Amino acid sequence: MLGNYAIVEGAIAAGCRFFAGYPITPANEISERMAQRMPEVGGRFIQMEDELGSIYAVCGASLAGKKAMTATASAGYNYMQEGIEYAVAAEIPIVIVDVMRQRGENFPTQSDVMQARYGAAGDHEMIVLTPSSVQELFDLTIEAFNFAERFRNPVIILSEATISLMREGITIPNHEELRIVNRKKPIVPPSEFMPFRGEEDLVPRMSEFGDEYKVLYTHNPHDEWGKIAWTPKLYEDLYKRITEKIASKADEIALYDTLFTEDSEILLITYGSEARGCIEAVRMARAMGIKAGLLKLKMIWPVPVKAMTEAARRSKKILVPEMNTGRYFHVVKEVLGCSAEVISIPKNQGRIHSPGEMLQEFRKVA
Amino acid sequence: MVAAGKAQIDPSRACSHKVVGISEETRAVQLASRKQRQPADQHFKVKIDEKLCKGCYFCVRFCPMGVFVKSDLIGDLGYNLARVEYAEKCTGCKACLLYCPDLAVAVEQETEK
Amino acid sequence: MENPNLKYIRGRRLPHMFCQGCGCGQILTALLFAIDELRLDTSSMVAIGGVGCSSRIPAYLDMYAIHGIHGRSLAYATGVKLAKPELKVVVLTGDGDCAAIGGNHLIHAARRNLGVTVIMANNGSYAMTGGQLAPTTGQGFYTTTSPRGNIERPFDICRLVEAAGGTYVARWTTAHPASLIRAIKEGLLHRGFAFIEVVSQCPTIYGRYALGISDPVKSIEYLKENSFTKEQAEKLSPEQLVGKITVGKFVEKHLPTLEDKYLEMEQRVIGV
Repeated sequence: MLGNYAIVEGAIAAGCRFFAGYPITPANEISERMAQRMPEVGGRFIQMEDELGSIYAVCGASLAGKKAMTATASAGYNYMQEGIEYAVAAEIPIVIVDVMRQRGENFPTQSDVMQARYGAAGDHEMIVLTPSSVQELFDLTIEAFNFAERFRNPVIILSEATISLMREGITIPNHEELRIVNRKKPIVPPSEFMPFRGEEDLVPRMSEFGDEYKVLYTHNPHDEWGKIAWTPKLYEDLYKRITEKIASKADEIALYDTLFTEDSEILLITYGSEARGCIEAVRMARAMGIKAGLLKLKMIWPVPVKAMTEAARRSKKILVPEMNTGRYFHVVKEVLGCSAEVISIPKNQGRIHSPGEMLQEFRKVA
Repeated sequence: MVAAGKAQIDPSRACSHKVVGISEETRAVQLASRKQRQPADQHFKVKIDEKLCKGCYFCVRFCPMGVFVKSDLIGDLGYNLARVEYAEKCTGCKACLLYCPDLAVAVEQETEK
Repeated sequence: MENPNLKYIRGRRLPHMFCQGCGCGQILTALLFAIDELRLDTSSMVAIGGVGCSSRIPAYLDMYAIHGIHGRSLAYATGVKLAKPELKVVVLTGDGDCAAIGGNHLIHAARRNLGVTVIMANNGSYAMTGGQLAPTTGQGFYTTTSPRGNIERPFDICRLVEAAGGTYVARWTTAHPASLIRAIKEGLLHRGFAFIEVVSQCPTIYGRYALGISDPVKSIEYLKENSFTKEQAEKLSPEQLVGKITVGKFVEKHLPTLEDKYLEMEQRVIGV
């Protein structure tokens, strides 16, 4: 199945019933398949006039009660920042697919790793998933919807031009075997319902258009009743809750795979399609006696500090190969730089590091 | 365009919130004829909420019967309020309700005694 | 004894933030009269506003409301209406929010015949931010970003929406409250894209700085004096009509809406 199609099937399996998009390579196949599939499953599809329209239509549809998604590429992702900011402020569950591509060209890249986290203005946390195969595109899309519904926050799926446009065999489990999370619904009558009061998990329950709750959703700072209000303390508390609801769970929700990290002296930390070459490189290195290991991140934000520290506990050298000018390297350095030497291995040519290239890097540092 | 100042209107069809700049004589004719047509047994209570009035005076300007006047009273919001002066002239036309931007006016028909 | 529209105000949170004599207060009143007279169920309504004075009206309505990003009200509305077509969606917006930054969404929503009712308050400037130039500012008038007079031609937004395919297009002013209420009722009941432009006085900003009229009564009288119905306008020459407001219902057509056509297509696909 094509990577982009796996995203669509994963979304539909997760319950997505609204999609708005705008044509952009290499995300077109997502829109095209959604146009085909949405009516088949009782969902709604619309091609909006631009990415701005797409992100806001998705916000509106999610507030109306549907799980909603949009998809774009790096250039279009710029447009969506304010929409993402709005979804953070009004706590709307939405999923955005950013199929990263080089500036002005359709070759793969991993350049948006910082934008995905920090692109929107204002204070926010973001959950950013980085699949590295077509199977992971399917699985992580379902996880993306689950996170969005659980945390009432936008979730970004950072695909790449490579993975989105490749075909691999995947396994689609039966629907009963899937774990699907839905937003919490209000349980008290309208007069008692506080639409922005976080529960134990700091996430408020969410009503939908058409029921009795009549909530006002706004970008402006608001109190727990939804009334537009501002005091210095109110603003701080509001955004503390909105960021803490995810930040406090960072280690619990972390998604990653490890390979030979129990005793690795050279650790690779990577994500996305880079991981594909690195798995082979680590195996080759082990066969040659180099104690290499791999931490493959499937979720790069929030930063999985515990997972990184665990995997790196015996490593003195940490290599961060990336398909950009060296971005996530800084994050890894912040977490692990005190206890190990963190080395950036950027390659900005639209190609992942080959296992051979990685082996050379191992030899340099071993 | 209706010329300001000297428009001649058929008083029996006049409704002051459709016309601008009528002369004093015409206005007096209007009011007199309306008074004649007001059923004697229909009376209305009119009230301005002083917590909401912002003293724009649309009610003063557009009430065809002159129920409201400007006043020197200063309301909760710091504006000079409008005031209900001649509630007995009210015909229940609701022009004040339609024009007031602040939902400050209430008009209610008095029930038969 | 209370104002009959208070029951539709969210939490009875009044006084509202609009200035003395603001047209937005009158639009709010007219909308509530229309909802009341039509006996609409507010639980199945959604009010959407962007940013600006008139976009704050939804925050005062006792119904689901989105106070969204500047210019994107119609994008939200497209998502909401397509996700749940049974909801009645009313968009409160201003001339800058709707036709400048939101212009693209406006023409596409009209083209799609999206089943929403748009009430656009046109006061000729970006009043909330202090009175900057808007696409509807009269030529030659002063605004803070056209301090030597506006050199640009203004939009005729009703013509724009009509050309884009809106199926109900009307313009009234806040000086014609009864006609405005009737138009809002027709717009709310209209199946398809209903667009009602309400030329509103803004005594605090546009009235005071551009027109030189800061008295609320005089600024609403200004609207009254400078408005003509279509029939009256036909008798006047183009020069006489410069800077004047033509009011009335311009378009009323009945064509399939976006949601109708989508649901019809969906039923064909599912094989119902």
